[in-house]
Amino acid sequence: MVSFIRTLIMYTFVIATIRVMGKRQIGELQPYELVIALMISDLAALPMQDTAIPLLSGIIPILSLLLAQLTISFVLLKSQKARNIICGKKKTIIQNGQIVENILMSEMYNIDDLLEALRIKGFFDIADVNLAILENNGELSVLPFSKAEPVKREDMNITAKEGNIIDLIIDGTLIEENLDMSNVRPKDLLSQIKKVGGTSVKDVLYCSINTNGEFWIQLRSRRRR
Amino acid sequence: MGRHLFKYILQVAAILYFVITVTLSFDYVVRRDIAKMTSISEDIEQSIMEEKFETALHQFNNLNEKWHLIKEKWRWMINHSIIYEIDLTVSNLGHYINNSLNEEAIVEKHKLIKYFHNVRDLDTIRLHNIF
Repeated sequence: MVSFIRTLIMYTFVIATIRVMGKRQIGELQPYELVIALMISDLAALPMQDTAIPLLSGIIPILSLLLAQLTISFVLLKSQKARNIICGKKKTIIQNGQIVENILMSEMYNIDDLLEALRIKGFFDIADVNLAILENNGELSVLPFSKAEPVKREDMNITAKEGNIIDLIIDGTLIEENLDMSNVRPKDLLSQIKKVGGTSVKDVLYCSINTNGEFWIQLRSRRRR
Repeated sequence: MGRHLFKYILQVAAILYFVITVTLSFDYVVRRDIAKMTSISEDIEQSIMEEKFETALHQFNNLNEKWHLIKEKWRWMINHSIIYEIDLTVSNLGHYINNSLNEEAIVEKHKLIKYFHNVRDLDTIRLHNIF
């Protein structure tokens, strides 16, 4: 029972610590998810490496964490206030093309971090950025000025077929379900394989078909056939 | 929403049931075992004080037998190093009783009682245990 209470206390404490550390430290998870990932891996490792520690001593705290996680998820689902407290609020880090300095300070985000995050998003010139929001999971969402926005098909009145690229053969194995979905007859697929020098499905490393009905085929090396 | 809420409540209840049942029942078993072992140890001490080593040996055999059963249960929840320490103390106690070394035997008996009390207090919900 003591380990159950201790686990819950430590979980709350580590969430609070991560929240204070700022969004920069988080990565892709919400604070409470990151804490779960960190703590569970550690808890599981202890009884694994030390045979003197009973497995139940690891299982009970992990279940306690799971319980805390389920409770927090449920509370977050129901309450906006709880979401703001546990996950934090999104922070506008660039507004109308201007860096909001106090947000940088409060989130422990320096200019280099900001520029790096913008470059990763494809914005090498900060002058192109109208709005940048630091999301709760530490990701940066960027809205450029309209002058810097890439041209879209609709701007040029160009239409394209909607759809997907369908994998038909992977490493010599035919994916029959995709073949049915793409409405390609096996006979046609075989003739396409023959066109590139293969004899059967087994000779193909990868084959796909796009929405225009065009095939892309690469044969396996002769040694692997 | 109703189905999700039901699923959520079910999950939480199952986990809570498991955690509470395992911890509380183990706590109960440990307390019961310790009471049993303490009582036998007190009898051993009494016999040693009265220099009845035959009786003490007989009581020790009973304690040893019970300890072997108890430790198998304890291994599920208690750090094995604590169990090894108690094992050594029980073994020493047996040796001292066999050789009629009353002072050493009494010291080992007290050590044994201390170990048992430590195990019992380890999982008691008290502020100093939690922090």
